[in-house]
This record gives sequence, C-alpha cells and structure tokens, in this order.
Amino acid sequence: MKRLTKILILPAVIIFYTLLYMASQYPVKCDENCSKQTTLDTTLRNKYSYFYGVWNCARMPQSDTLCITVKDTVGINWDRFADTVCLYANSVGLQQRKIFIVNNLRYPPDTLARKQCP
Amino acid sequence: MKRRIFIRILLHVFFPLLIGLLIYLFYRPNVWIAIQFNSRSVSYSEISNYTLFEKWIIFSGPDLCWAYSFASAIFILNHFYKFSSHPVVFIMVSIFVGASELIQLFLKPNFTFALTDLVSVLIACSLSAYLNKKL
Repeated sequence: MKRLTKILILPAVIIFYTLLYMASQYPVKCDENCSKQTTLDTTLRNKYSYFYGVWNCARMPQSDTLCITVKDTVGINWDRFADTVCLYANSVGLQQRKIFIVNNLRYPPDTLARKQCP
Repeated sequence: MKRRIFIRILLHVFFPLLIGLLIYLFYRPNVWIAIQFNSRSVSYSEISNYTLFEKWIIFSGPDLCWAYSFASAIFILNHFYKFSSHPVVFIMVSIFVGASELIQLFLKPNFTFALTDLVSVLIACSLSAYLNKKL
C-alpha cells in the first residue's frame, strides 16, 4: 500500500500544481466589450475619488448590467452620479446599460442608485 | 510529531497558496482563476501608480507563492517516501519551477515570460529547500 502511494502521490501532486499553474497563468482575452468597460473604469477613476470600479454584475461578460462600486460619501447625489455614469458609458459605446451604484464597503453590498441608460 | 507535520503542511504548503490566491483575486482581474471567483480587483490603471515593490508583489508574488508551496509539498513528501536525497530533489524541483517560467517564452502571446518571475520562483524554491531540510 505504501509502495503504491509512493508511486501515485508524486504524479498527483505534480498534476495538481500544474493545473493550478494553468488556471493562474492563462489570461482571459479582453474583448471589445471588456476594453470599453476598462475605458469607462479609467475615465471615472480619474474624475471621482469616491469611485472604486466598474464590474459586470452578472458573471457573463456580455451582461448589460454594470455595477459601479463606490465609497458611500456624504453629500453625493447618487442618482445624479448614475446619470453621469450613463453619459460616460454611452460615450465609450456602452449603450442601454442598467447601472447599479453599489456601496462597496458593506456586506451584502448596498445599492445606492439604479438607472436604465438610454 | 503528527501535529508538527500538520502545522508545517498548513504553513508551508496551503498558506502560500492562499496568499497567492488572494493576490489574484484582488489584483489580477484578467486571469482565468480570478474570473471564476468574479472578484472585484484593483484596476491596472491604479496599479500603475504603485511602487516597484508593490508591483513585484502583485505580478511575481503569486508565482513565488506557487513555487514555494510546490517545493515545500515535494520536500515534505520526500521526508516520508524518500524519493531521493534532499539536494537531488532540490535540483529536480528547481528545474521544474524554472521550466514552468521558461516555457512561457514559447507560448506568446497568451503567456508572457518575465525574468523577475523566474528569479522569484528560484528564490522560493531555495528558501523552501532551506526551511524544509529537516521536519
């Protein structure tokens, strides 16, 4: 039994670490939608200090729902910020997106505003 | 003895893997494993403002953790199953982790080779060999 374990355990460990390596090294290509989203993320990040990031709320890359994570800051009108995000999203080619402004510091995340972009 | 080995496995094999996973989840949005967890990582535009050391942690840290964990797993197993002497196993593990980086030279553009990654995995391997010389 020990001999069998000795024979099998080394290949098993090597296969496990090879799979981990593949999973962690293989990059997912950024398609057109992803690059538009990256542009939107960069634009908002440069303009608003309370902005954290843009994500697909659903796991599907082609989802029409965008989650905008922010730091919940007193004095910010989140409905107006959602309008602004729509403007920027439209300008980079992300039309008719559903926008969710989400407070990133709470669990479960707290939706501060939602908006259907034109 | 069993408890000591269990702690060693946790500390030298699983803990580095966890650290590497966390770096992927929070700082590397474009790799397969991070996509599966649907993580909300820091964007590259923000990472570009980080110091060189922070960038090294983000981009070479996971490879270092992976190599350290792998090398430790092999060294610990070698204590039980006596595959070969410690120096021979060290050389074999170094070749394996080194090859895992060098192979990326031939897998462009999906994989990218970086010298810092190669140095990091070899450092990890050497450190693991030193710390796991005796159980």
